[in-house]
Amino acid sequence: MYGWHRKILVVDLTSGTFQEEALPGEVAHTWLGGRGLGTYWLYHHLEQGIDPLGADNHLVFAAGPLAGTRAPASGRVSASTKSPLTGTVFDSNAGGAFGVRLKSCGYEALVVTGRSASPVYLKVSPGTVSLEPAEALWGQDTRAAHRHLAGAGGPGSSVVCIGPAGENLVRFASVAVDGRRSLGRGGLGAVMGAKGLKGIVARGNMPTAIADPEGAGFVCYEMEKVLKANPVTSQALPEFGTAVLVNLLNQAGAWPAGNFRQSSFSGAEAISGEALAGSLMEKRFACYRCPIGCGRLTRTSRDRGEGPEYESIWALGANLGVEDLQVIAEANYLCNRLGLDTISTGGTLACAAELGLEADFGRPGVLLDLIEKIAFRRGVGDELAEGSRRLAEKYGRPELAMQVKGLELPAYDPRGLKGQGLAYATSNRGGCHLRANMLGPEILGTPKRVNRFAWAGKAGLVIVMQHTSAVLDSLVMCKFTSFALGDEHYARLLTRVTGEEYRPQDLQVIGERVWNLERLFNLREGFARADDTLPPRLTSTPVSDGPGRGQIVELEPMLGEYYRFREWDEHGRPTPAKLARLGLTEVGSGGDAV
Amino acid sequence: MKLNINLFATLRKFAPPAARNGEFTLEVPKGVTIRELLRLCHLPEQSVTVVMVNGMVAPLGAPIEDEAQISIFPPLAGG
Repeated sequence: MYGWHRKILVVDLTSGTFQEEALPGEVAHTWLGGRGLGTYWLYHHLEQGIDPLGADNHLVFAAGPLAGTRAPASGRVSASTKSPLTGTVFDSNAGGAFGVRLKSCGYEALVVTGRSASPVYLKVSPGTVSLEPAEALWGQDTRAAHRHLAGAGGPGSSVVCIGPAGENLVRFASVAVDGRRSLGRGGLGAVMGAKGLKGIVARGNMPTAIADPEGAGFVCYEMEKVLKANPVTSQALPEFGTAVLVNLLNQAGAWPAGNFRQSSFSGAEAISGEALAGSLMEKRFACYRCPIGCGRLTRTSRDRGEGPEYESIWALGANLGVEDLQVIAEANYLCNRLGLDTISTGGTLACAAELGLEADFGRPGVLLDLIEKIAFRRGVGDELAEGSRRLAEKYGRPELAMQVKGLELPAYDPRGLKGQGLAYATSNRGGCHLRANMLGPEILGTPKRVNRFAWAGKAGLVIVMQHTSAVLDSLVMCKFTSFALGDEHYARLLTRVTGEEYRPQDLQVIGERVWNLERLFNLREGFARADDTLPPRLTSTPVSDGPGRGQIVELEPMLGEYYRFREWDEHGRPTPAKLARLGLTEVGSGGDAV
Repeated sequence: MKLNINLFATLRKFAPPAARNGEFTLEVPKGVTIRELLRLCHLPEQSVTVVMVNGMVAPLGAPIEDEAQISIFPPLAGG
């Protein structure tokens, strides 16, 4: 079968056994891979109400049909599970090369179930799978564990691993990928920790069969040319990295600070992408087959490492009142080493500060000390390790947690980008900018400029972006390619690689199907309209100054419009007619069809 | 009239030598539009994607008022 290997590797850590399951062609065509395949698997294999940190949870690592081809930025991996932070279905997506290495072992996906009695790591190669003891690695940070596992895997291997935060079941623990990238959000690291799985090493040499090698090669060539000609993907991102956005959002008065009490930060220039390029930057790096190269390797006087990215600069900087780039970079390195999601770490610390627990993050050592306490659940760190929602509820002030469905919000104040507010509220994995990023239409003017302070008419744009994100996460390709490429490129390449006809509009339907199945999963878990919401600060406290002065997010009318456009009922449930059109009727009624 | 101008990212190379972090003031004729301002700053129009006047995105034909804060950005994205 072109594009896809027909096998899924299922590892049961409780019994220490492996089995290969067939991937039916119809499932592959319908769900593509990555996030789509992960959602499909979880919907059909997880019982309602299981404990995300229990043996019953599954963790699905999945590549996509384009992995192993010449497609740009296609080495990524998607990982799906039921999140211990949100309780929703949750996929996280990371650069590096794990996706393509897993695929070159002959598997579209690797599913981890059960729980090992003692720490282990998993070694995968074509025809050989083994569980290896990892007692000696338990307690090691991600740098040390990566070195060890990469050594065990040999040249050409790829590694995912957790640090102490995952081992200690911090609800927002991340998974390090190839030592430089992270499956950051949603606590996938804690799921691995709960299973006693320190890491996975994959190394293989099985090629991806391509239906039309010449045609696919030409489309890839064309895509690379477009990426190299576009000023965003050939200049802004390579030169300044993701942090190029700091000044843009700050000037627009949509850069939150101090747990969203302010909408701009006076120290923004000092911690911007421009400042980073002129101070700590050592060199750029790129993920597997990526012509963009937005990664940064940086150095402070005491440490060096990857990043900080735009979101981390905000979460560990502006949101905590820190305007020293060196402090932010070292906090970011430490989060990466310990295996912590930087956005949730910063969001939880900002919440703690407003609760009066901790405040003086700018004082030398305070921030680093707190990050360590979280990862090892020491002292106050044990409470912080539960995330901002549980922390604020414990102290009787739930409104001070800036989160949606338990996931801490990222670096866009939705009072200055109203559509982003709707995107946060309706995101199936909680407060996140990667399900639909409204920066394009609301500030940059792509694909068209809309009034960022208006609420009417935003639902349609958010929905299209949610579908596009779901498709890219299922393909599995980097979203940054979409700054230069469109559905037409992805559909043509997918057709040439798989031999199946995909039109751009077919991709939108696939995205919509993934979105609705995620919704069905969450509804089954008890989520409802009341969970499609925002912290009250954003819906009832007007911005105090700057361009957005006086603005709030008018969520309710936007949500009504959104449900109507989605053909969901007033409770946010997909209508039978919608499910029928998406081929989800059997699934929606508890059945088992594709 | 006097404008406070901020250039960002790849546009900073177009800033005058006295500029600090891409920021400088400029005397311009009253009622100048953004398009005319770009010409006065020697900024190629195609290298500019967003111009904000006091934090609000403004079209190229918009006239500028005295003492406005102008922020000029090249094509960019991220997340």
